[in-house]
Amino acid sequence: MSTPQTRSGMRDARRARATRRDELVGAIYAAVDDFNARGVPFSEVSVEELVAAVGISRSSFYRYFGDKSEVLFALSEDLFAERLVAGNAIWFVPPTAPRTAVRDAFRTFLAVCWQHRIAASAIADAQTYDPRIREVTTKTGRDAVKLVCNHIEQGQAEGWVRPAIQVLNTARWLVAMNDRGLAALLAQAEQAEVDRLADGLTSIVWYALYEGARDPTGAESPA
Amino acid sequence: MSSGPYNGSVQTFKSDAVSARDQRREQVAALLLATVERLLLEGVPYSALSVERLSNEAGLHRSSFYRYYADKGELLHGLARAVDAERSEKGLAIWALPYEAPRVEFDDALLAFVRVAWKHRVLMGAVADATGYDAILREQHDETVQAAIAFVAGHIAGGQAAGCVRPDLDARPVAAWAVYMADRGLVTVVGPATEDELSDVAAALGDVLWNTLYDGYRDPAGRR
Repeated sequence: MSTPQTRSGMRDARRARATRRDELVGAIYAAVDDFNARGVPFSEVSVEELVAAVGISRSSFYRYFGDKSEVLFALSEDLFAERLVAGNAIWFVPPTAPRTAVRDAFRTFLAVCWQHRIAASAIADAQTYDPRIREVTTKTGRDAVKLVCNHIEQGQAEGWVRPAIQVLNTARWLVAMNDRGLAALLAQAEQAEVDRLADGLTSIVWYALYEGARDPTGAESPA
Repeated sequence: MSSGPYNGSVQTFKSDAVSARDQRREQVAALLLATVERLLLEGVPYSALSVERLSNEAGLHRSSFYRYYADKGELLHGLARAVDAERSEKGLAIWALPYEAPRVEFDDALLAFVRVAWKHRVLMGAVADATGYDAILREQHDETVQAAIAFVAGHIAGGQAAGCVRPDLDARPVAAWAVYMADRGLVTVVGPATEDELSDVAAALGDVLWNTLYDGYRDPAGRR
């Protein structure tokens, strides 16, 4: 067995491969949107059509993805990682910040989700029959529930979340919106409507969690 | 609705044979619903059920099955429609309450909605799984959801005009989020709950909705 490559050489090769794969994922997003614009759902796109649209050979496609279902899996991992940052930011808005700061965090989150809404719909559909994708969406949901639970608990302890609401069940109901509803509403929405949807979502979260306990103008929260 | 007085007379135009066939169809549908739900509860996935076995378990001849359904896929469409109808009846009842109704009636209506969904949780789970690749199921369910959104948006706008719903809510998007929250939550929150947990699960949804829509504007004790 020959091992001509140094450890760092292997690392570079891996990194290059990962970068190339990321580029492909970006190109595939565009292709998914394109097919959709022509009325072709991603589930009906063949590998031949996909590689032609992305502009690579079949063999290089198979170098990066084992099969077509792995493409959607790669998209879902990428999509959820991107959404996670914007989604988490909502719950890390400081309690002394005004309501407009919460609204802006929701606007940013929905803008990110809107960008890849077509791929997100395909993923929401695929999770029903692809166990690997289901695992990603299930884990995302579980993590979100945990995060919102911590947020409610901390807020109740510090007095900026309504004291009488249940922690776990409230978190579960709120996170249920961040699923097919999100995919369905964004799939139908024009870009101009996205802020309006975000503001509606802000109303629900603000009134369900904070109203009466937190100052909407952002003055000091009760100690 | 407006056709109320004429509803009864329509029935008399139907021949007895037609109404007997309709009755039989409903009996078969109810029988198959109960059978499918029992088998799903026993852990048999819908994809693994044959028409043969389904008919046997329901005590039907296979030819009776095929008189009403072209195949198993069509049966699932029918079952999903029936459960959707039962669910939306309970769901719409929440929003059909008068604005003066006390909070306890609102909570009771929500609990009834959650209970009916829980009763059909295994079928709803199977349907939710199948919507990923079954366009008819998706369209069918989407119609129910759109109708619910329109109904809730009307409830919000009407309540705002009457001073019983928060005036600053944007009726359409708030209604859409609320309906999708309930629709998805019935599968992800209600489905996995135990029967004992249902009242807490319903109360949490009740708080989210009451606090969003009514808190400070609608009297929880109810009033004229």
